[in-house]
This record gives sequence, structure tokens and C-alpha cells, in this order.
Amino acid sequence: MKLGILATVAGLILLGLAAYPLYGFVTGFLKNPLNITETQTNCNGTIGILFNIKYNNEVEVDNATIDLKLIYSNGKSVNNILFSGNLFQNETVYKCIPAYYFENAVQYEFSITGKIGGLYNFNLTEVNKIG
Amino acid sequence: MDKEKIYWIVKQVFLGILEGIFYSIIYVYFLPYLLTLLSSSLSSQIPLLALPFSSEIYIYIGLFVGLDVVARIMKGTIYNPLLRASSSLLGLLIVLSYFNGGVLSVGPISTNGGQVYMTLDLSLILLIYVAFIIAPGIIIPFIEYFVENKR
Repeated sequence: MKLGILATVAGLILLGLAAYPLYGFVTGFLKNPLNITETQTNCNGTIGILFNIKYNNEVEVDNATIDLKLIYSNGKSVNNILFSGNLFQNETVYKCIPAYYFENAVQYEFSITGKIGGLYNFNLTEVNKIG
Repeated sequence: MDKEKIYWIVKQVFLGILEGIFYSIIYVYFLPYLLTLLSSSLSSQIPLLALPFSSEIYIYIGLFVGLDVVARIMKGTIYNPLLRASSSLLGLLIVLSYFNGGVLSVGPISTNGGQVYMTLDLSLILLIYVAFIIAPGIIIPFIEYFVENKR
């Protein structure tokens, strides 16, 4: 009986420690969701869209990748990697995508993958239809 | 059968029912509630308590109560640790069924002009839970039985 209680208490302490970064990430995400702004600009001589992404969360995301997937009317798709690496608090990502990439696109998807606090794999995808 | 023995059996049945109801509340209500609390904190569009079972709830409650009552009456025999371990395994089965192997999927959540999907791998939490809460619940009844019978 004592052994069982000891194991349960140890398990609950470990669960609390393991869940802490996840709790920090979720509460931080609710306070400051990932902020993505798009502005029309000039990318190396051609008209393009500048993506400005600000990560404002105390919990680090390891091996993060932020992708922009464009799906075209003919069914083909193109994946653009906007960021790859560890995401720290106040990390700001700038990436310019030429405007012609968006021609005939019917849908674009923002996808963020990584490991929350180096412990929990996650994937967050935002699907947006064009037109 | 003397009065004392009948009193002991009634007491064990009563305690077994209480224990079974306690485990039912933990596994069928409390743990799914915690999981949906996490999902609903990500989006207000997800209802707070979406119980994964309906008619199965009564089967699980019946199984927990039955296993715990019989385990208590069978105290001192090898059936006691076997039934107690079965109760822990039933808990594990319920947790695995609503934990989807440790992967939590949320979505689609409607946002400004788009839809958001999220998947979160909670297998680390599941691993700690199995290693420190379920596994001792299976192993310890046998250790206790063999230690008591050695005396």
C-alpha cells in the first residue's frame, strides 16, 4: 500500500513537471497568438508579399519550421519554408514571397511544426481559401 | 456462517462498491474532463466536456465495482492481486481509448477567414502515467500478496 502511494505521488510530481512547459505554452499562446502580418513590397526587383511573423511565447519551440503551402487550381502545390530553427521569445521572421507565386492559387496553408520545450511534438495548420 | 463473517463480507462489499465508484469517477469522468479542458482552452469552439462514452459508462462502472468487490472478498487468495491488476488494466484501456495513443487532435477551429487544425503529441504524459500510476497498480498487488504469504 505504502509503495503504491509512493509511486502515485512520484508519478503525479513527474506529471506536473512534464506538463509545466505545455501549460506555459498554451497560456502564452492564448495571451499572444502567433502574429503574422502580410505587406505588399518589392522582393529583389519583383512585386512580392513580405511575411512578418512574431513569436511571443516564453516557452521555446525546438526544431521549428514555418511553412507556407500554396495549392493551385490545377491541383499542384508548392511549399515555401519561411523559417527553420529554434523559436525563442520575441523571435521575428521576415520572408518575402514573389507575388507570381500566388497566381492561380486557390488555397494557402500556414503550418508550424516543432517540439514545445523540447518535449511535445505539435503541428498547427491554418487553412485559408482564396477568392 | 457466524455473524462476524457476515459483517466482514457486508463491509468488504460496501468498501468495494465505494472503491469501484471512486475509480469510475477518476477514469470515466475526471481524466476525460482534464483532457477536454486542455482542448477547450485552445479554442472556445470545443465544448468543455464531451464524454467519449454513453452506454459504455454503465459497463465500465459495473466492471470497476464488480472487480473491486470480488477482489476484497477474495483477500488472501491469488485472485485478489489478479482482480486488482485487472482493475488497473481496465483503467489503462479506458485512458488509451480516449487518449488516441497519446495524440490530441483539435480542429477545425474557424478563425478570421480560415480554419485551424492542431495536433499535439502527449505521449510523454501517457508514458509517465503508465510507468508511475498504472504499472505499480498492476505489480504492487502481487508483491503485497507474496510478501504476506511468505510470513
